[in-house]
Amino acid sequence: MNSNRIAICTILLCCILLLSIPVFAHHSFAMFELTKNVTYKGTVVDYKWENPHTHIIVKVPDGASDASTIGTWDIEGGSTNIMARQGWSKATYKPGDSVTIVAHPMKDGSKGASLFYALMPDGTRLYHDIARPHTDGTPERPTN
Amino acid sequence: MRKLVIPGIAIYGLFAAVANAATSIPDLTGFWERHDDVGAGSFGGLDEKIPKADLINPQEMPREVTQLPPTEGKPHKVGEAYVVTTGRCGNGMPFMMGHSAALDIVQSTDEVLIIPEFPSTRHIYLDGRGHPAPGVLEPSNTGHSIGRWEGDVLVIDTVGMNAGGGIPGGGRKSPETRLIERYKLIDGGKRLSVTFTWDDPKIYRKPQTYEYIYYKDPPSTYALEEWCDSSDPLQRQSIVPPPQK
Repeated sequence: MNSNRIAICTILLCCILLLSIPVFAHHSFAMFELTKNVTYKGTVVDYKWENPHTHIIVKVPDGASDASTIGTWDIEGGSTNIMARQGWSKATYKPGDSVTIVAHPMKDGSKGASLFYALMPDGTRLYHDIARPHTDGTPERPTN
Repeated sequence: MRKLVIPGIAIYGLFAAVANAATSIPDLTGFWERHDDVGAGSFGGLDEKIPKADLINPQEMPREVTQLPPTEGKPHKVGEAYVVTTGRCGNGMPFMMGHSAALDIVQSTDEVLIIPEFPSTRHIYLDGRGHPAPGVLEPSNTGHSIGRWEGDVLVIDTVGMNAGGGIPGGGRKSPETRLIERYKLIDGGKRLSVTFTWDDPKIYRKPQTYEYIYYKDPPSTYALEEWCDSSDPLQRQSIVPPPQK
């Protein structure tokens, strides 16, 4: 089989694969490991209350108990209306605040994650959206 | 005269009873939200238990009929009017019905509005009209919807939705696909059960059916804003791994 045929077949195969991917009209959660919960304990660098997504930039210091979380992370939340209905507001965080956030990390290993919930100082949780932890016996504690 | 009073009262009461029965249609008006009753673990997990759609050709995705505007995919420039392109911003059907945001249902005699917190209101016409002819109906994000009451159940019939996917269970749609929804108040009106049935003999071996439950928000609830600019690259990928200082 010559190189042209190989190239054509490769292109066709890619097209078929692309066509088989469900089309999410909003950006997909497919880039995140949704079955994995990671706890990020650190300090707010920036808190962006905005659409289409809120962002919490968190710096986890050296010496953190989970070494895989050390560094500065972009933790993406939902749109402001979705977050507001879960109890968030533009005043929830400010730079310098201590935070404990549980999120689903990105599959490619880059320092980004999808917010699951934030643990507030009074013990309550602020969730990203309507999703809640498993109730089927799966341990609620994060995997780390 | 007295001989007419009692029968007259009885006849009046009979008419009043009939009129009352005819107008005892449930009122779906209010803000409604989905809750995660099963502990999905993530938003992506919410629909995992919905059965997979039985597709005739799983590899084939119905293509958009309309051309996308020339600004598609290019960054929006400050001061430039932005265009929310059809089918690109998550607006419309079926996304709005499964979204985490609230839905505002406004019900009148001849029309029901289902209003999400982003552009794309659904208009359901209850005045007895039919759908426009297929050659006339322009596909849209929300399609064309007509409805009727079957007892205490609102039945909505929608066609003319833009081609694409995103139907729970991996379903697809074209403008010819028909969606039948059944809305029923349960739990004393605190919850709303909606059953969705997608059918298209060119796409499905058998109809794709699933149910969502919505919870009624307090009367003080008001609409918040969610907007989308389909030409904004952030709409597709908004995480920017920060510099590591």
